Amino acid sequence: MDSEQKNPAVEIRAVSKKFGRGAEQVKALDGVTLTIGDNEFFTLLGPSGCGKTTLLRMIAGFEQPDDGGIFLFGEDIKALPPHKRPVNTVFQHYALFPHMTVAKNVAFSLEMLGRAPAEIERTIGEMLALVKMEQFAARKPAQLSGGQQQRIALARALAPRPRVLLLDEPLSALDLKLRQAMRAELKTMQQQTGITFVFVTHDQEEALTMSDRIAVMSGGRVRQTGAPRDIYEKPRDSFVANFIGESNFLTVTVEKLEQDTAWCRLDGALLQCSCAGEAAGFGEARVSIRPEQISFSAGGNGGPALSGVVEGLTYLGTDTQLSVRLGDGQRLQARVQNAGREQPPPGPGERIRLKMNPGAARLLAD
Amino acid sequence: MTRARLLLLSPTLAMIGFFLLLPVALMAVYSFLSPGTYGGVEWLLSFDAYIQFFFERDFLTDELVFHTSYLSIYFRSFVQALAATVICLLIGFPTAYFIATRPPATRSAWVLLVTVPYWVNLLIRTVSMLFVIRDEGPLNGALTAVGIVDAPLRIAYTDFAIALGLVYSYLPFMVLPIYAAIERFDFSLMEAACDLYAGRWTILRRIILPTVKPGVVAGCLLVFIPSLGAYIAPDLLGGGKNLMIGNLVALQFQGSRNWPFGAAAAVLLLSVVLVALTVLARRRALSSAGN
Amino acid sequence: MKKSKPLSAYPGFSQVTWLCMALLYAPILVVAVYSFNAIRSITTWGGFSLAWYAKAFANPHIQAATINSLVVAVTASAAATVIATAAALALARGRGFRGRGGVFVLINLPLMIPEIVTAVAMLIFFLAVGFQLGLLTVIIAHTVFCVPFAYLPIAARLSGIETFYEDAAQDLYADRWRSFRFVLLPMMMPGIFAGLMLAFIISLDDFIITNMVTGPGTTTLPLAIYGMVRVGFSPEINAISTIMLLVSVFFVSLSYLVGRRRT
Repeated sequence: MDSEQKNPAVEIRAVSKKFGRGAEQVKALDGVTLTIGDNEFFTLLGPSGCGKTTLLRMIAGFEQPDDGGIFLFGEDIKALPPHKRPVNTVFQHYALFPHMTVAKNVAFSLEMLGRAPAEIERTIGEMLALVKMEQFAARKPAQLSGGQQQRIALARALAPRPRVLLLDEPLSALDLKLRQAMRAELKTMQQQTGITFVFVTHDQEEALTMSDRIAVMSGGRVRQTGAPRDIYEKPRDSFVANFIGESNFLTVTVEKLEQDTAWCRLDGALLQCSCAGEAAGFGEARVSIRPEQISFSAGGNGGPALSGVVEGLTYLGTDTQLSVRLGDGQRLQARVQNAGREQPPPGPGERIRLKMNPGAARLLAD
Repeated sequence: MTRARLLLLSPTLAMIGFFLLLPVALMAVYSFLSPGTYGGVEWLLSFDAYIQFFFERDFLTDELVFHTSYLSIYFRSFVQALAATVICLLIGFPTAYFIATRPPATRSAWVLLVTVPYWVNLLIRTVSMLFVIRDEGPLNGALTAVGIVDAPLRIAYTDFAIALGLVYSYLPFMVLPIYAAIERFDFSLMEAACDLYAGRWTILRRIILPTVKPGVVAGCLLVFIPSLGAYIAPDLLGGGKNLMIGNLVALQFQGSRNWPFGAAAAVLLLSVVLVALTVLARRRALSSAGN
Repeated sequence: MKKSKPLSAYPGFSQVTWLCMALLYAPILVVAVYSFNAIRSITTWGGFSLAWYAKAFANPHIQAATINSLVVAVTASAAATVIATAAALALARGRGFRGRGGVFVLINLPLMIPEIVTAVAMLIFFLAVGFQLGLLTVIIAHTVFCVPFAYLPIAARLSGIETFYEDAAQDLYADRWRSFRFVLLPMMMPGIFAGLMLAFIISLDDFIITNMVTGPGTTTLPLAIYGMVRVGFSPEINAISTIMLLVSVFFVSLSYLVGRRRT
């Protein structure tokens, strides 16, 4: 990503923020450093209380960092109040002004900026067309459905053509179907407008499907930053592996380290694991592996290959999940698709041979 | 406090601080001064105003003699306020309960019906009451016409009339807090109690009353406090003969013009009211902390 | 299954409720009915007539009192509403601050102090600092005791407005003043209007405090009614009382309806 190096849209440098006093003090942000490239769809993902919303409000100007700097296209914006920052926000509950019509809501920022009436008229039209809400211009927000309100909130925030658009869990108030449709639309809109989107969510599926890059946060820190595939397939630590998708955590012994690969011993078998290089060391360590990366076949009796005893089966519709106990007592979950499989799944108590895709297991940093 | 906040609060601080808090403080100071000859005060420190409540200076011997005429006004006021509170409770609790058990759609209409009289001019309401119950009024007119009584019933200008006027004035204050408490009551508790063999009235006494007690206490205090300092009801319905504290205070600034004594009477009334309000605030704080 | 009353119904409670309503409404309804009686009689109905209203309106004493009442009520309620709005903004917005409880008590002080005590304290004060008793002292007194009544619906409204609306306004390039002027103030308007209405009728209704702090020649409607009742009942009093009842009910209903309205 060379645009990132040339011209970062947002730069967060070692930002810290505490709330409260004395014993009740909470570290909302603890030395966060991030670089968000121009035209990027960037997601801050984490559980509630992880600091993602605080960070977003800080970029908007509603919170002040105790320490560190915030830069917008290279310019230090720490001292600017919210109404002087060229960023706009789509609020979680939309915050549409209830006493104004849809058109007035969209026009608000342009009127505040003192734009010419003709230009305001034109922009209202363009924005409502962008979110396919032209026929609702005269309505009040209370007369709109949740999904429609969300579109207007988007149109309102895009109207002044911000350089960065901040989205604070904008889909959380919608029902599942609408949420899925809006994901695709948001992504298209971002590509069309070329505006940098900073998107806050606690929903991993949302983050994985829409983002160019994701920063996973917890406890006021960034745990890992990367493309969705990297985050999912190569989690840096157990928090990331656990928060996104399902994972098996297994204790192994690292025997050999190469560039991006670690050879680890698990219950007598040798596993090819991926690793970040930075975290690597010999001896006891933990690896994470996704249940769908484990395949199995009948039989197996010790030997160099990994094997275990089936303890239970759970039918999940598309998949069947097997709970397996390894020879050394560790348990893991394996998942297989039901469609197109010839043999019936092994029954409880049966011994099976397990196979992990090379490099699918990830050596964790903690 | 930020500067903007101070600026926003300054009109309130100035208006209420300067024209209410300061006057009340000045009144307290006046209660320790000597009365002027034509009303007003002399700036001489004196405790006479407070001594006057209990003692009278004998003309001849100049000795202080214990007397009860002022104390009895305070006592009467307490009894009147208490009577009004009890009657309000007896009427107000069933009313509040009845309203709280209506369907939600009609409930707010009932609440509005109880609230509206509170906003209607107190003087006019009291005048209306006097109009109805006086000797020549419609009530006595109807009673004599039907032949229930031969001579008009003496209702106006009695202690009963004052109590009636106080109940009429402050009944909404009893109903509303009790209603609020009963509305929050979980009526499945009632079914549970019934299932455990409790009868209706046992449930009322053992389950409902203890739960809604904060509302009842609030209602009682909200009726008792204004009743104690009432002026209009005793003045109009008592016919100026059956004084209460409010009338005693007002008289000192109109008729006999003993300002320090009037100020002292007002200070005593205010102290009792503030104590009652503190009790109310404490209970509120306790009940909200318990939730 | 045996049909029975619901468990929650107590015998006698509905009757007591009707008694309560009768007690609250009978006297004022009786007065209203008699105000339309063509003759002075209490026992006979002389036909429907608006004569007593005409007579009341023609009374120059009542005319003067009406004008005074309106001048005082309009001025005092407007001033109290401005003061209360500013106070509500300071108390309901932003984080807690030291002295918040004290300010809160101060706003509600006029409700806590018995009216007769407020009346004599203000009288003492006005005379001590050399104010001429009259329209001005009445307006000042009314402004003071109207503040908590105006404050209540305004603060209630304001606390129901989420802070994110102001955030959104500022995010959309409105500075603090413009975010107040174009977003917060219009959203507060129903509460402000409700507060103004309540303050207006509270001012219109006051007797005890006005009676103490007014000067010779400055009479308000309640004072005029009181003076007339002292002399003796006349159907004219019924007519004025009925008008004042209707005015109160009208403004309370208006305040209630507007205050509850969602924007």
